[in-house]
Formats: sequence, structure tokens, C-alpha cells
Amino acid sequence: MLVSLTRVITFAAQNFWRNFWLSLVTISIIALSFLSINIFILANALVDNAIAAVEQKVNVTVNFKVSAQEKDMFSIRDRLTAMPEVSGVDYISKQAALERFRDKHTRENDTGITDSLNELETNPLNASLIVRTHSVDQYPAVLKFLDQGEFTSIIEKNSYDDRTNLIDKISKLKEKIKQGGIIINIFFALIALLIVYNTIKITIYTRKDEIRIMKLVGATNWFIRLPLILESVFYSVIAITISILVLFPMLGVIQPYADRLFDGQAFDVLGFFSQNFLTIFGYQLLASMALNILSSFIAMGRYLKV
Amino acid sequence: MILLENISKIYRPDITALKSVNLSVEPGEFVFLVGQSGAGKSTLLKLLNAEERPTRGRIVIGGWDITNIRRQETATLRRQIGVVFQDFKLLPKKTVFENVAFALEVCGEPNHKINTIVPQVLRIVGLEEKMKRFPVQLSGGEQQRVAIARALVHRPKLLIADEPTGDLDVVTAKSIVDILSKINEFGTTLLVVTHNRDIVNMLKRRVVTLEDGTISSDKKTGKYFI
Repeated sequence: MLVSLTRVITFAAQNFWRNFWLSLVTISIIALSFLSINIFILANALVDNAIAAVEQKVNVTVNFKVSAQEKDMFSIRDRLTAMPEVSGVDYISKQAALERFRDKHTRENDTGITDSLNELETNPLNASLIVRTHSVDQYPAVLKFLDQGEFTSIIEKNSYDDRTNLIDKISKLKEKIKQGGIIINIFFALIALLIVYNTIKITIYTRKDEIRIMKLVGATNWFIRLPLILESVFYSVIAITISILVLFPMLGVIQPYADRLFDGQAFDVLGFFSQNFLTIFGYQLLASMALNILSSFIAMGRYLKV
Repeated sequence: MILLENISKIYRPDITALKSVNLSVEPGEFVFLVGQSGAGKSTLLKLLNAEERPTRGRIVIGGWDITNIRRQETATLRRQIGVVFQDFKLLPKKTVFENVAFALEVCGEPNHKINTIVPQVLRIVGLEEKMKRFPVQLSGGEQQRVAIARALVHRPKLLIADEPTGDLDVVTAKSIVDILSKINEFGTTLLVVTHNRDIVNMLKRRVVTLEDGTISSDKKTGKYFI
């Protein structure tokens, strides 16, 4: 058993080295497939991050009527805060709203607006609540809560209707991107699968005479199969190593562009791959090994029938 | 030792390579199988090596009925038979030593035994000095001698050779036949397919002639007369 195992490893290493150019071509193609998959993973992560950034900017503002009592407003705030979908509620008092308004227009040197405000004796702005949820598709629950009849006397009618439309659009867009992503992912995985399968098939095809000779000399199918299968495992391990060595410097180049894309909300591409290193590359290696083994197994079958 | 009873081989759709062939070869015999191209000589050898299955009839080798041998059993059969092919069939990416050693490795022989036996066999065929070379670095005659060494190394009781001198010059062909004769003297049964009239006539061994898939003559000390 030990002798056979040693021979399998020796033959695999010998085959690999003595068919150097063939091994190199096979590894290059598999490494390129890995690289394309990882670039695709990066694109997916960037899209997810972009959606998350948009989601963060979405909120629902509830404007209260002038007649609304502070204790009623606080009651709504507390009930909203208690909802599991809600991630945060900010109460903006009439005074705070006025200060914000004044600050904004002073910064923009809009003296006409600030002068008009000074002319008014009373604060024309209403108190409001700014509500944020964990995810954009959780807003309908908040809107449903606010639409209850009990609040009509204190909440301005249609104060959040515009947001409803926007939230609905973002929600639908997110769903479409998700569905499209699944289709593209499957399509891409199929292409990578076919490329790797055919590469291994061609590699085995170039060795068909050798396989036939081994059979004629009395080798069992497994004695022929195992070194070739082990060789295909070598291909996977070396190809993933090469793809990692190429990918990480590439990420360093991409990082400034990613920063610019998200305008201040930096997405750490290097960190993303480093933190998910084992998941991303571990699964790729396992999948590639399984695919290579299966491809070798299938491709060899016909040449073993001697 | 070898028994072919009423053997026929028909390739689809209707090419008949062998028709009701009956042949018996005793242990230690040296048999030449001669005939024109397409007479069925190579098909007969392929049946013995289980590369092909007969359409009809029965084949027994050393008491083992291999007529309907299962695919998984072919390795066991081939480890007991030495085969020399006309085109040598050496593994191109293995050295001379490794090519010969391969026949022992498939049998699961330990390395120390392989390291002892292989140089001995290579000495017999005169290639001891070239054991680290690859097949491409050898002449045709040398490659054929490697093939013979590989066929011999596990000491088979039966050695079959398909045109072992086919592509070789007269002198090299003679040296190959000398080696085969020597092997036969050690008790190995030999079944040799050849077109080489001089060698058949010189050795004066049993000659079985095939014509259109049937045995047209079988002489104990025959001559090549086609």
C-alpha cells in the first residue's frame, strides 16, 4: 500500500515535470479562470457595497403638525424605535429644524432666505422624526405603521409619500440586481467549468497513447488514474497560488479607483479578500480540485478501455 | 498451454479477420506466425492479449479461459504475458530503466527487487549503459530491445511478439532474434508474428501460416513459403 502510494506520488511529480510545457499551459488556463472568477467576485462586492451605500442614504422623514404635542411625538418615536426593522430614529425639534435650516442657508450665503426668516416672528418649521431601517425593503413596515389612523391628527398628510416612491424603486432595483447577479454568476461558473473541463480533457488526450501502453503492459485502471488525478490536483494548487499572487497586487492598483467610486465611503478591496481569504480561495481550490478530478476521470475513461 | 478452439473474429459490420481457427501451442515452444498482410496474424495476438474478444470460439491460456475475460481481469492476464509490439510502445517520458521497471511496478514489486532485476535484464539485451536515456535518444533496434526487456522482466511463461523485426535492418533484426531464441532456451513459450523470411527459414522452428483468416499450414520445422 505504502509502495503504491509512493509510486503514485512519484509518477505524478515525474509526469508533471517531464510534461512541463503541457503542465504550464494547463496551469495558466486554470489560473486565468481563477483570476476571472475573483475579478467577478470583486465586481459583485463592489455592487453590493454600492447598494449598501445608497441604502444608508435612504430614510423616512415624518413631519408633525404644528399642533402636535411633544409627548405624542416622543411616544411615536419610542414605538418606532421598538420596531425590529428600525435601526435608528432621530427627533428633530422645531428649534433644531430652524437652526439646521438657518445653518444650511448661511453656509450657502443665501441671504434672501435668512433675512426672510429674521422677519418672521414665529418658527414656521415643524418638528420631525428621521427614521432609518436596517434594509431598504423594511421601510414598507415602517410606512404601514405610520399610516395607522391614530396618527392622522399629529402627522402631516403625505409627509413621507415622496420617499415611498423612492424606496420602492430602490427596493425593486436591488431585487433586479440580485436576480441578474445570480444568472450572471451561474453563467460565469458554467463558462469557467467548461474551460477547465476542456483543458483537462485536452491534457489527457495528449497522453492517450501513454495510457494505452500502460494498460497493455498490465497496469490496472487505478494505477494509471491516480497519478494523473494527483497531477490535476497539483494543477489546481499551483494555479490558485499564481492567481493569488497576481490578484493581490492588482487589488492594490484597484483600491484608489474604488475609493473614488464610493466618494468617501471607502470600500477596502484588499481587506475584503484578506478577511474572506479562506472562504474565497478555499472554496475555489476545493471546487477546482473536484472539477479537475472529475474531468480527468471522465476524460481517461475511453482510453482505459483497452 | 495456449489453446484456440474454433476461434472467429468479425469486425463490424462484416469484416472477418479470423474464421474457425484451431491452434494449440505447448509450453516452451517457439512458434512463428506468418502470412500476408490482413491474414489475421495481429488479430490473433490481440485476442491472446485480451485487446480484442473473439466473436466465437474459446481461448485458454495456461488453463485460464480468457474467452470472455472481464475488463478488470485483463491487467492480471497481461502481467503474466510478455508482449513485444512492432512499434515498441515505449513510454516516451520514461527512461529506459523506468520503462522496464514499469512492468514490475504494476505488479507491485518492491523497489529493491526492481533495482536488482532491471539492470540484469538490460544487460541481457545489451542496454545496461543506456538505462538513463529516453526512448527518443535510442535507435529503432535499441528501442525494440527495451521493449523486449520490458516484456521479459517479470519472467512471463509466454512471450508474444508482433513483427519484432519489422522496421529494423538485417543485422539488428538478427540480434533481436538471437535474444528471442535465448529467451526460448530458458523455457519461455514464444509466439512471433513476422514477415521476415530469412529469420523463419534460418531458425527452423514451428511455422503456422495464416491465409484469409484461416490456418493454411502448420509445420513443426517449417519454412516461410508464401
